[in-house]
Amino acid sequence: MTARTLVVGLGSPHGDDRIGWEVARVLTDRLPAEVCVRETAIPANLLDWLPEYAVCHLIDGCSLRGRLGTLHRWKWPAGDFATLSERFSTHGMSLIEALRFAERLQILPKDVTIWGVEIGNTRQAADLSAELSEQIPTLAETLAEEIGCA
Amino acid sequence: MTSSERKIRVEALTRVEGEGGLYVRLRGNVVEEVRLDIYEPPRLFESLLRGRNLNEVPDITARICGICPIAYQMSSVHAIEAALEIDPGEEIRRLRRLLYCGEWIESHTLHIHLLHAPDFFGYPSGLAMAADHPTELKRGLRLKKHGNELLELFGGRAIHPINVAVGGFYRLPETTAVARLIAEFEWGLQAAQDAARWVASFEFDDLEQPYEMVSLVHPDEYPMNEGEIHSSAGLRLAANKFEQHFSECQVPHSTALHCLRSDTQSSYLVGPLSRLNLNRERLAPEARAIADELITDWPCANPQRSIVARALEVVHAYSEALAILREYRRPRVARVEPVPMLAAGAAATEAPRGLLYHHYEIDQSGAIASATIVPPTSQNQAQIEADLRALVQSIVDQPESEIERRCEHLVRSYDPCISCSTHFLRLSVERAQ
Repeated sequence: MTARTLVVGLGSPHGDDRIGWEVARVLTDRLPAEVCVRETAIPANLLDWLPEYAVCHLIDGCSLRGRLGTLHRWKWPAGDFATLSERFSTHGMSLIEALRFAERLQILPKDVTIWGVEIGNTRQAADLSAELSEQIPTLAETLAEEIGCA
Repeated sequence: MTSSERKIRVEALTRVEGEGGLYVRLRGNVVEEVRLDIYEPPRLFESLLRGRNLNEVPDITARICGICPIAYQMSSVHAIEAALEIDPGEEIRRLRRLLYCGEWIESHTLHIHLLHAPDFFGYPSGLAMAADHPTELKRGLRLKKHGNELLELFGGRAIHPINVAVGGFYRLPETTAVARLIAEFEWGLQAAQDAARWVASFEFDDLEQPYEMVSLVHPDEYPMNEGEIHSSAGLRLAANKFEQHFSECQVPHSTALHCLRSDTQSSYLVGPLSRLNLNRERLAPEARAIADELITDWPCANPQRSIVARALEVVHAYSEALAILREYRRPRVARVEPVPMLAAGAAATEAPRGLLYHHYEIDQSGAIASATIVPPTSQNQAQIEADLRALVQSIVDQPESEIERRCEHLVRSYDPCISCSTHFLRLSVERAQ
């Protein structure tokens, strides 16, 4: 892996929605120092970070009614997101809107992968569920291998 | 609805911070009612602060807004320091101005490029505009990033910073970390001037209004943290006398209070346009030169041209930030420790959107006994409605879609922060006998 690589864990402090942050924290120690690993609750922050990188991996919670902890993978541009509407607000710019915006500004890295982890409880200010927490090492191991730095 | 009655309703304004709508009722060619409906739920921050230790106040008030948290922190620490008679000293004072520069850069460039500029080109959003104007928007995002970097360095993080303390800062960055920003800010100073020329080239409707403009005025500097409250109608008062001359009132259609001049019950204007008109001669030299180049008809009282005022303030913020960054040496003392006592104090600072007033009563133990916060969007609400009324009356024969578009554009000219303004709740209790 030679291209400048950015890994971003997205999440919020609400239950299993923390998973992007938690996996990113483990990856910080697993990945080489030249890979930049960041965490954010605000997808719009990607607009500040993306221009400096050629490869980007985004890790976020998702809910596709699969088994808790199941890892999904999408390569951008992904057809699954094509029908999502463009609802642009600085209070609520979604991950997909931020990527579309970056694409139109021509600051999107050539290689963007979105990793979705199936989550359950997202109760306000709750901790990560124990069941999902147990899967963090495995998820981080898988992602480290996929990112190419295991 | 009678045959001559027309209603225009915008259920949800887009490209504003927070949730609000707009309602206009016409009868024939007469505007009967105009309302800026703010239905975002009350935030209740003044009540939340009661009983909390005074040292918690800047962290709690920073949560009022994700775009302008520094303004809330600054007004709160100045008010509490005024109460406790604390003087943090000149070094801290300059670093607070530096932090405020970061917020002005971040907030203003966001509004200019993503929220307001699309109106002048007919795009529904910044996203829609991006493909056709990538150079300008990329420049805007890079400027915004600089603002965020200042907030991260001196505030601890860009959103809801945690490093501002009563008496100073909890920790100050190393000189080397600050020096790393200088090259980017030198680029930013030039880019901000280019951005100002770009926005000044937009086509503006003729919307000049007879505003009473209100802003802080400081004898030696463009106002941010300190100064007297002045108005274009001749008002002059110390910031802690705000509540004697301005009063908040409830209106049925809004969860935010309206603030009016107490003596005349009239609306007034706060924000970059007022600041610029009342303080033009105190702009940094680069900003003053470009202000004179781009605006030749002073006072500038067209709300749409507030985008130019914002761009000029970004130039000023870069110039002042650069001067402070270049001279930065990490102070030996970051904070004067506050000593609690029974006291009261008030202060006003200039948030990106205008004058932000805080007043606190503190008890013997250092707990907050009462808090009053008057944000700029509350102060501008009545003026926005007055402007809308005048605008609609002037275009009353236009199709509804055009009236709606023009009204939304006008509201966005103010960069209203609706989330900040909603901290009011009326509670009615009826007890059965």
